[in-house]
Amino acid sequence: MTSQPESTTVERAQADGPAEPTLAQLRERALAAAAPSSYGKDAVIACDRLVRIFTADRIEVQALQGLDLLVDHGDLVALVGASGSGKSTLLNILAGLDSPTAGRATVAGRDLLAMSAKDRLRYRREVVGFIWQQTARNLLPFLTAEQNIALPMQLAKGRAGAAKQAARVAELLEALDIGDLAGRRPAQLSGGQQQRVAIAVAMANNPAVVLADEPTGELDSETAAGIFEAFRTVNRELGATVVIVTHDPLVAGEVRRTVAIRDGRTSSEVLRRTVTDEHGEETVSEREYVMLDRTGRVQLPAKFLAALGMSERVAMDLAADHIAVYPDQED
Amino acid sequence: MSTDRPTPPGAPWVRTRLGAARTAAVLAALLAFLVVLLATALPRAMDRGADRALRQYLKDGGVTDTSLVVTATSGGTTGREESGADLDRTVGQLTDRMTEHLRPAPSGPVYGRRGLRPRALQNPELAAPEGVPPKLEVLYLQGLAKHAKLVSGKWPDDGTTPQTVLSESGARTLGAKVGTVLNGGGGLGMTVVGLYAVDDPADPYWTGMGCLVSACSEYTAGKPPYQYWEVGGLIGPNQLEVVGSWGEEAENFWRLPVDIDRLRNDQLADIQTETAAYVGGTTNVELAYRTGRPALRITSGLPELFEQAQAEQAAAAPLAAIGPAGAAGVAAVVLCLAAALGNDRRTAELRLLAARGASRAGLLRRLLGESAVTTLPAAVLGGALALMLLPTFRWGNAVLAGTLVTLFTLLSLPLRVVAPQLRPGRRPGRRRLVAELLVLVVTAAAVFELRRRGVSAANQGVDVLLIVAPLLLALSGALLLVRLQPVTVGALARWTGRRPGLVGFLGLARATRGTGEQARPSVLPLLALVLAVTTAGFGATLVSAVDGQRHQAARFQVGADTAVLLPEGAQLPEGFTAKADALPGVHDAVALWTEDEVFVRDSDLAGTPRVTIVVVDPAKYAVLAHAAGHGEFDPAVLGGARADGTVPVLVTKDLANLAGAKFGLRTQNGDDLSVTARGIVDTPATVAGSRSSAVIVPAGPAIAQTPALGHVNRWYALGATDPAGVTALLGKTSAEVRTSAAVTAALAHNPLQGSAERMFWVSVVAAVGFALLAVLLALVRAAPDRAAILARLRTMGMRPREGVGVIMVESLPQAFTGTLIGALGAVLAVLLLGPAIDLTTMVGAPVATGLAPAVTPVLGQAAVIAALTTLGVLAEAALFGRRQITTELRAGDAR
Repeated sequence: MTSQPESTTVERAQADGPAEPTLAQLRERALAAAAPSSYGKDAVIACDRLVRIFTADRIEVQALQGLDLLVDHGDLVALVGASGSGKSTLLNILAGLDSPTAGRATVAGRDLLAMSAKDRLRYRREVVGFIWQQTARNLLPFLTAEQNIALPMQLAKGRAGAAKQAARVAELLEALDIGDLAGRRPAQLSGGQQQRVAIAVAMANNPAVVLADEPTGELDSETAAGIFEAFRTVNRELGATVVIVTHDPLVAGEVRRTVAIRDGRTSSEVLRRTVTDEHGEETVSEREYVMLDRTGRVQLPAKFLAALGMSERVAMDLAADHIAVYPDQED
Repeated sequence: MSTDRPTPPGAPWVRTRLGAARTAAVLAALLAFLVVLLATALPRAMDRGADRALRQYLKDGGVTDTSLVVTATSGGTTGREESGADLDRTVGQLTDRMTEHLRPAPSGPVYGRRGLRPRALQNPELAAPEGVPPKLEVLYLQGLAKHAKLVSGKWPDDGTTPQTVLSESGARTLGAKVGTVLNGGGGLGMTVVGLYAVDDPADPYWTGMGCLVSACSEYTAGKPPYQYWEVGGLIGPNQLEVVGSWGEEAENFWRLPVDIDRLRNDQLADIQTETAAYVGGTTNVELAYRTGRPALRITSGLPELFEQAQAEQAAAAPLAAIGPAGAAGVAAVVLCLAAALGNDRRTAELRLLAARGASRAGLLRRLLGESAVTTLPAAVLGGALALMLLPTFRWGNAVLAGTLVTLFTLLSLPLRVVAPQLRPGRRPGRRRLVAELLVLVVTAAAVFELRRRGVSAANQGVDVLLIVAPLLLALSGALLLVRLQPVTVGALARWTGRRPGLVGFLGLARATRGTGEQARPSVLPLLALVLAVTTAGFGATLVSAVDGQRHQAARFQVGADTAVLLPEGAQLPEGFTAKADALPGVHDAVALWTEDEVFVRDSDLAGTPRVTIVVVDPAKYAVLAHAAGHGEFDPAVLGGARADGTVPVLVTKDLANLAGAKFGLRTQNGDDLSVTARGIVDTPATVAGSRSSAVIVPAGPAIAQTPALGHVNRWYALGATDPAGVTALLGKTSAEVRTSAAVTAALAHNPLQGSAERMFWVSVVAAVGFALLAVLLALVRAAPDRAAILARLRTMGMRPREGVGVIMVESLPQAFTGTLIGALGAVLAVLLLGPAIDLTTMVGAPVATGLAPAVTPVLGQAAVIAALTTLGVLAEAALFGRRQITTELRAGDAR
């Protein structure tokens, strides 16, 4: 659908740079991310044309069909999409539990396709933490909250550094405000408490990335809000990049960046920015963006297309600071 | 919670994990205990059984045959006359040599000197019932005073005249007293100085020592034989030369009973070598040299007994081995199932652990830790218990078996969990197909080789192929069944789907699938059932065939189930036949007259030998002959008298050239009978000494012609009768009553074989138990899945009773087809492997090679197992089918 190449973006970014430094920096960062030569250079998660095909009973299902995704360090990102859109598949791949069929995926500098079993194990231990949808599945039922939190450390390092482990457990319990639950078993915890403990477990080895698959799926909205608060805490205070998969579109209001996945591809994203104006008042600006992939393809939102009756072909003009897209008016 | 705790905040894995699932841990420990106990006990029990059987077998052989009998002509190299002390010295040298497997028995050696011929006593006052003077054999027997009491007089001492002591009972029979001088003729006299009474006549000391306990009744060799008495007289140790002069020639003998209780079956080969060295081998030479008796000879019945024992063991070995092999197979299946169950139940937990950064080695270590804590103590306990309860000499095999099974138990769960991750990416379906084809090929090869080879040569040890082949057949059957079941049950499910009922369709549809995500039902529980049924069926066929053949062989020997045989010339009392025919249990009785030494007259046959005639009712006799399994004929041939007045008869094969001829028979009493041979039979059943030529004469026409033949001296009957009842009817008539039951019992009295049979049945019980356990484990494994589905169905309005129905329909077809395939496997195994089995040694009498398939024993086993399985399924359905919906369905349940 996009008919014109965008090879001029880098030059434009450089040209605009000295004129408006702050905007230029922002733009440079955004454009550099889209540039082929340095794709995903600064991002903690970089997926490039990721493909995952499942084969079951001789039927092939293409869960991911060339998905692109960049997540910066320290970001808090929500992946939304309908059920079956491939978001859980993506998350499993990012968690090192599944491997992609084709494409490229790097997380914190580690190539997910080229990892050996040993690398994958270290990756799970050091780079990612994971939270599942089912509250009961995140925790071993026969261990207390404290023991559950210590488990990843034990698995990674054995029983060495006991004092350090204890300190880390205490730190996490405090950060997530569950200090009084330390000695309880999962069965003695509410769903929300369980998910908080699960977040602490995921954070135990201080991973660079925390992945959560529908962490609020089984919770009421109030508790869910608390869990998102916990994720923000993790993101802000403990410095982890957080990726949350959800099918709940309202989540967009809780995170900085929301990426929508449709049919195994990232389709659009919403960025929320808190802007402080000259009077010191904070306003939240929210803007929906369309994904632009490395080859310059853009997926136009369906409702836009429907509103203007666009199909098959569109016309496009390059202006000084934007690209205009028109319906095909030949007929 | 506090940050400065000295201990790490993490939980000690093994303790916490086991504490969380106590029941599972206890059950795992119990299973380990049980299998290790059985595995350790099996070699011990086999050893014990074999040892005990061998010893019993040898003891049945009697003390003389299980001794080393050393003989030497009197007089050593020294040339001087020997005394008792010389014999004592020699016995010391002999027993000193017995330090290996053959040790002297605690009953002690029996030795002395004996004459080769007894001497007739010429004292007129002694008893001579038929005019034949009594005889005295003179012996020297060491240690007499320890085995007998002096009743009167004194023990013989160094008198100037030959002195002897007699048994009190012998002296009374003879009419000898203390002081009597027994006159042996030729100037030989022997003074009776004392009388003794034997302490215990059953003491092995007296066995085979002639007439030392009491007088023996003997008969002269001539015709007619005359009865006379013979006694043994014992002399003192310093008059040994008397034995020689009295008995014409004398020999020293040392009977050294071997301590049978020290003999071990596993050392039989060594023992045989050692015995061979004694009996005419190097040890014999060595002992001859050492004792200074060049003529020393050692004989023994042991080599022959050993050989027979070995042959019988080899014959019973397949039976003894097939049971344990089957049970072991089923037990292995149960362990695999238990591991699979553990794996299923812990999938989520293990996945979580892996996701949280557990390495494969870490997982393995944790699981091994759990496994070790539960199974190791239980296994050690089980093994130790087996070792303690069944003491034998050998440890190696038992400990090895126990250790292997412990390892299997220990590693089954950890390996089951870790193995699928070892080689990810390979297609398991193709591997499975290859493995199944391999099993089929191996089975076919084993069967082909057995068929090609036939009966294995004797003395080659246990026939492994024969034991493994039925199990392989069962394995192939189970694999085929699992492949076929989804197809057949699926078709059935589709058919029931078109019918109105729901229970049948739901149950069958579930039966075509495996638990959880498996597309096919699990092969393991089926395999357990099939293995158990095949093993039990094959073994039961073998046992019942042996029993049947033995009974047939006994009938063959006796000629019927009960036979009354009278000595030559005697007759059965009046009315015996009628009363005996009416005895309870008797059917198809026949009374007959038989006479040997009947002359054949008026035939063209040159030098026709004398024949045996059997005067009998042909119809009844034909029934008997048929039942006894030989000498069958058509009674119609003997119907009616001929126009020429001759009686139609049948002749045996060796009189075949009389067939069709007209000839005469003359009995010893001179009665004549003219007959015509109408046909030939092989040997008639009733004739003792089946090789003798016989003529079967129909009673009716024969008696009409010669009334003298109208007597009865034999009575045969089929059916189980109490021989005491028959004996009672005989009254004072002396006759021999033989029963097939007694002969069967005699044939079956075989400790070696009884031990094998016991081992087989115990193993079958164990195998069936394990198979049931496998079925239960399979049910439990599928239980969560099934419970959730049932609960969902009940939310849609299904009644609890229908839920139970679904469980039954789901589980029972598999159990029944498994049992059926097992039974078919057993029949097939008998059909395919039968020709390679020789029952002769097991039956104890010659029978035709081969094992014929029998339906009853196999079906019996299968029915029992099917009934037990049904009970298990019913119990499971009753427990799980009625659970409440709310206990089963929870939010977020992924089942």
